[in-house]
Amino acid sequence: MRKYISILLILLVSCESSSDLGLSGGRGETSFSGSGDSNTGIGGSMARFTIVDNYLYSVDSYTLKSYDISDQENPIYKEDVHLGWGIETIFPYGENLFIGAQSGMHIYNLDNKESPEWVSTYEHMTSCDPVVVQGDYAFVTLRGGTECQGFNNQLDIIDISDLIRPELFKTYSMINPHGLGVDDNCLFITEGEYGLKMFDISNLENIELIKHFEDISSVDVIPFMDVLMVIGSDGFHQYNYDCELGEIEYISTIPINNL
Amino acid sequence: MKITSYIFFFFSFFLFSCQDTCDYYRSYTVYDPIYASMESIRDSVSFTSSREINNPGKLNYKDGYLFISETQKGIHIIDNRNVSNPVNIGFITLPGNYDLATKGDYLYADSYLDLVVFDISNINSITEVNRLKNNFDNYYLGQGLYNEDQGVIVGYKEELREEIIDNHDCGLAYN
Repeated sequence: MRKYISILLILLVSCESSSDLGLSGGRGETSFSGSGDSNTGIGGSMARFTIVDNYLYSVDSYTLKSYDISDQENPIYKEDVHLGWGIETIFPYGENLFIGAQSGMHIYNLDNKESPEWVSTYEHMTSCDPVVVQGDYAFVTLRGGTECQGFNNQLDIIDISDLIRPELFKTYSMINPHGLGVDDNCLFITEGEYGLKMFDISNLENIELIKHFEDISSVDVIPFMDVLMVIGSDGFHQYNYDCELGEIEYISTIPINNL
Repeated sequence: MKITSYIFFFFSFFLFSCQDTCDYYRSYTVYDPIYASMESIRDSVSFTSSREINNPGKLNYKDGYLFISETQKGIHIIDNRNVSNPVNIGFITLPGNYDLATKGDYLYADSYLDLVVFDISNINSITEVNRLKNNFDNYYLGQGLYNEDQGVIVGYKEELREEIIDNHDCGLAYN
């Protein structure tokens, strides 16, 4: 009986890996929270404020608010968009906003910047889940635990090539993922008190762990121009990374005295 | 069947008569909300020299400078033009801050009910230039964190209370 089960498992595994999607190495465009023009600052994946062109967006647990900041010193509140419940993060990419919620990931388009419109929702089990996007894929970490409900700790890669029908591409298990950041072939995942991970994602079917710094705390990251800025409960840490060579090197820390 | 019912009734009568009552102390912790008026919170905004980072929240990076929210307290300014030697250079006292975004010469941040705009063109002298008052009041009202009479809840006071409960069923004393 056992033999049969293992044969069955092997069959299952081979089925999964046979779907070859032939991803090319660099997917070009790199995005950070607060994309658009270089004049706009870059946020981490946990951001609940973001700026796209002349609009500022804020999210609370239920609502997205838009503000016209064409006159930067005088923001004008425009609209409330009701989003549902458990809203946590907002990430702009291209002409869309990707909103991380405890129930899933919502996509809103920015055809009308004043009043973003719902496109679709990728639903998952209840958990905490920031989202970042690059190319045709969204990267969502799911974290379980008391404040997040749910029990899953994983990375979901979601195919968003059809924005109306986002589909799970693949799931990888994690320890206790918080924020994340993506830059070209590099994916950084903060594992809270379990450290910081860097993955090579040139093959999304089989992302490769390049480095796991286990001795630092990390909660959110900003990868920018080969410098990774990491905030954790023990300090603000920085690393140099190279996505072509798959290397990462420690640079500096500002210690944090956690009270 | 009938006989067992009678027996049961008879014994249960005994059970009741055996019950003790006793007095006991019960101690418990109460978290009393501490309120502050939005007026006093608005008045407390200032730009000062750097302070230690204790409870970091959101990040925003712009042109070599990093803004790190000190959850509920304000925003740290880090000069990160030299990544091998980042320097903590200043602090914006901004009670009730959780989030922030930057564009051009401006920083946008929340302070409880308000959306506040800072001019960051001179990083050594950041000033508040505008605010949308009560912008987030629906959320704070909805969460029970704000009312017009008392203001917003800015923290909780922990208090240990004791009370005597007398003539109570002894069995509950250890609950």
